[in-house]
Amino acid sequence: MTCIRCQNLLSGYADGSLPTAHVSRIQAHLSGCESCRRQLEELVALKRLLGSVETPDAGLEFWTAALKRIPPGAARRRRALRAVLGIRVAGAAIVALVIGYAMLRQPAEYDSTNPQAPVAVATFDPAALVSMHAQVRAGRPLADTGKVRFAIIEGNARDYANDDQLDSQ
Amino acid sequence: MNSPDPAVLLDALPNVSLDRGKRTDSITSARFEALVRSNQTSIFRVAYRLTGDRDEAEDLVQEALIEAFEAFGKFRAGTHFDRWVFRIMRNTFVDSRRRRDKSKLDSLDAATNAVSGERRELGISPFSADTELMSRTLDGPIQDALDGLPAEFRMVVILTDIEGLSYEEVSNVVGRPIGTVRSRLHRGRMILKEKLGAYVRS
Repeated sequence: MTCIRCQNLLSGYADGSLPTAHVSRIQAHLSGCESCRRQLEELVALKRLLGSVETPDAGLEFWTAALKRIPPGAARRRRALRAVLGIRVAGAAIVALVIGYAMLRQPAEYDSTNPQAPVAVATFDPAALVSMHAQVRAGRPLADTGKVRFAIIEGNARDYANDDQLDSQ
Repeated sequence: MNSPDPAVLLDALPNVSLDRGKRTDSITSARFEALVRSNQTSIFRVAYRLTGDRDEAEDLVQEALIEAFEAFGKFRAGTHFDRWVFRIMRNTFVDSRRRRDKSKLDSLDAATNAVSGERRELGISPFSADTELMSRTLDGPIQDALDGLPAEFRMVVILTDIEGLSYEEVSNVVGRPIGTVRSRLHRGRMILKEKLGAYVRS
């Protein structure tokens, strides 16, 4: 084994992540090569140094403030959107589906007692819309106990098509 | 086929209830918060070592938490929350650096790095065999050396040597094959070894 070859493998060797065949060949080389032995020692020293570094924490106030700054509706909007779409949409780059409250337009929490007037459909692919409607109907993703009027879902359909983790609630 | 009238479709759509939303939300928020707090040390540590600057680290964590919450439905309970957030932070960091590099002049960048360096304490003790003593006083040089690495090398070194992840775990976080992780790790360490030479040579 050459020094160049050995040195390329030294990190893996130091981490114990090499297959045994390599390990014995490296050990054979190291026993006769001081330069590679020194490289290994330095690598191990570096690992130890990095592993022992202490990092100051951000402080309690930071975490409390950071959590507070997360928009509350974000997760729900995303989950509701996925549950209602519930299907793979191929093709149309932008699909706007008017199916309920204008939730995604609202940065604040929506109020279910305040039905919104329907918002006009911006752009949509009619064929996709029909197909989506049929599948949502058949799938009945959520039990209904009330009524939701309209929502606008805008964006790249592919984002949601790739997301097959539906809200299972 | 004629374009269907949207109004007709709307009437035919099923009625869907989202009234349960609010209660579900507070449970979700509580779960999320609990996960953040129990993983806060490693989350901030990676952000700090990645950005090299405390303020930038806080911004990175903040952005990542917002994204994490929006994507929380994708997090599989029982898996490592902090590693899931590392992945988000890595993506956020790469994006923001790309944006910054586009709009920043070289000289401004250098000035920023200089300020970051000054902000870190650079109390360097005489060479000592005691690694723990060295590391406490070497935070400045160590972070400077990390800052000098390309971001992708820096990330795998942080995850392996500071966070103690295996190659496979690192591969999952950065989304690259193990061979790539191996190579970046080795090259990153070799560069660090040069920069930190005095502190690793026997």
